[in-house]
Amino acid sequence: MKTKYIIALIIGLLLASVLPLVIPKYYTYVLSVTICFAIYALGYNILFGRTGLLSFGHALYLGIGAYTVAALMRPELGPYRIFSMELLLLAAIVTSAIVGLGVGALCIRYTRIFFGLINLGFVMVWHALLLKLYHITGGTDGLPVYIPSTLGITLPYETFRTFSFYYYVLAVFLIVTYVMWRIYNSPFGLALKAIRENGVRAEFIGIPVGRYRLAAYVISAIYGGIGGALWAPLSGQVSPDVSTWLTSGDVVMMNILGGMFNFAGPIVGAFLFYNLKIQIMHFTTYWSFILGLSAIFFVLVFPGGIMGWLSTKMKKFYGQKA
Amino acid sequence: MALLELERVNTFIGSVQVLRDISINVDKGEIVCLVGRNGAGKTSTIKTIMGLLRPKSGTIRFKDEDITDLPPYRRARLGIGLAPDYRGIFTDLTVEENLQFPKWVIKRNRNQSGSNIEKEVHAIFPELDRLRKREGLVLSGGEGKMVATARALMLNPELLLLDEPLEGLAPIVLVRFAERIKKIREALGIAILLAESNIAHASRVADRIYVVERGEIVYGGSVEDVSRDEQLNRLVRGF
Repeated sequence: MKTKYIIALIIGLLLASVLPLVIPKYYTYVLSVTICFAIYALGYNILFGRTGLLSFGHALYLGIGAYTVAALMRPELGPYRIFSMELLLLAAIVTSAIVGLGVGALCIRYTRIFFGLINLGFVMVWHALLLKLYHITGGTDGLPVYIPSTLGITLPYETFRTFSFYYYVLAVFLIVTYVMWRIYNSPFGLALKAIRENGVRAEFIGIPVGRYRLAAYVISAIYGGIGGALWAPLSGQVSPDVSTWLTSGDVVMMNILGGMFNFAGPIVGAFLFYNLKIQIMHFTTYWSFILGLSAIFFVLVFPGGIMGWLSTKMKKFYGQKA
Repeated sequence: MALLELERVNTFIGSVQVLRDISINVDKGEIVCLVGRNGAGKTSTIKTIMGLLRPKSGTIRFKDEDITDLPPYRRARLGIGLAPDYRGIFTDLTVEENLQFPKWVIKRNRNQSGSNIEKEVHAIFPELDRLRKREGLVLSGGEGKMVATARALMLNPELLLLDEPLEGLAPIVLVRFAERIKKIREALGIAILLAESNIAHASRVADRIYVVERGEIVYGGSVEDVSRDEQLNRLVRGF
């Protein structure tokens, strides 16, 4: 079984590497953006699927990552402007972790709907600040994002968004996915699963529930920040639209569509949701109507998400074979 | 000095007082039983000791340390293990995973490998090997209680709290489980405080008992004394 996973991983990696060479440039760009959202969704899942905390305001961290990159590239900073993508990622990780720690410390005192709504409140406050603090954030216009250097190399402008940056995004995605895999399979990851099932039981077997919930929140904030930081140079412009209750809702949909109790679920969900959205938008202006219907269909037919359904089928298949 | 000492503990759930001036103690290696009718305050006492209910007044001392304000996870790390009345196991996790947590907790916090206690626990409950890969959801009532007790023991506690461990078990399983409780004390030398509504069940295992009625301790002493005293006997039997 393990060998099969390794073979599947190698095939997947090879496919992901050659894909930009065979698909139209536009789709390479779409794929890069999708990967950014997959990182965002993967991070959200440690909070939602693993710890059982449903947030309606997680786009706050996507915005913090994106705006950190844009702010550090502002011409006003003169010689202190940062163009190194590695430093920008580090800055996004630090800012999202700090904000995550502050907001999380307040939110994790509550669970269920209260937790969700407090987070929604925070993203609304952040969105309003982005709009109103015009001199810092650029208001509704937002801030421009320039081409960063990757590993000390300044990539050509012409192919940056449609080819070269894709590989950088893919590499970061692989690293953060591996890190998340390790977290999920650590005692800490197992403890989060126990907390999701029953926080009181987890507490009396020696697990500091509050502290672990906060840790999960900060990890998920960092992943949101990384997703936003990688997305910003692809977008070329960051605006308050990145941090709304709608983009916060998108990540919930990605998790539910892909399967919130499966490790690969949020990744599959991000690919499905974003690409479905893009394709429908090409055909009709009533894309939200079609997208809504599609979401209802998927949730009704695959209540455990695509990966949940697939995993059940595979278990049955291998069970029958054995 | 007693291992556990509760002194004039008063606990409320909302505005309702569930424990009134509770004072009890448990010595090392002792099996003490809280006996009382349903709703008398046995589970509330156990929960207060574990930190799941916070007392409004009074003190709880464990190993001569005031633990009244400590959160449950700190009490667990200090050496108090709890197997609650509802099965209290994680139904999404396998038996093996359920038992993994305490092992990890003592490894991190007490620098103990946990392998010795693991061997002892498996010797007391040999059925655990067979149930290793089974999910908590599919366990029977007796199996669930066994896993919950084993999980509490994996913390390598000095005090084991068992809430209604014999409640709802089939007669043959009950006798076997009562024997296991005694075996735990013999093998590990730890103190056990259990809550039981049935005096006959309590008499199978306890060295001493406390009779709880309406949140108060109305008697503390031997099981034989309760059996001899008609008034007490009527009180714990509920008729």
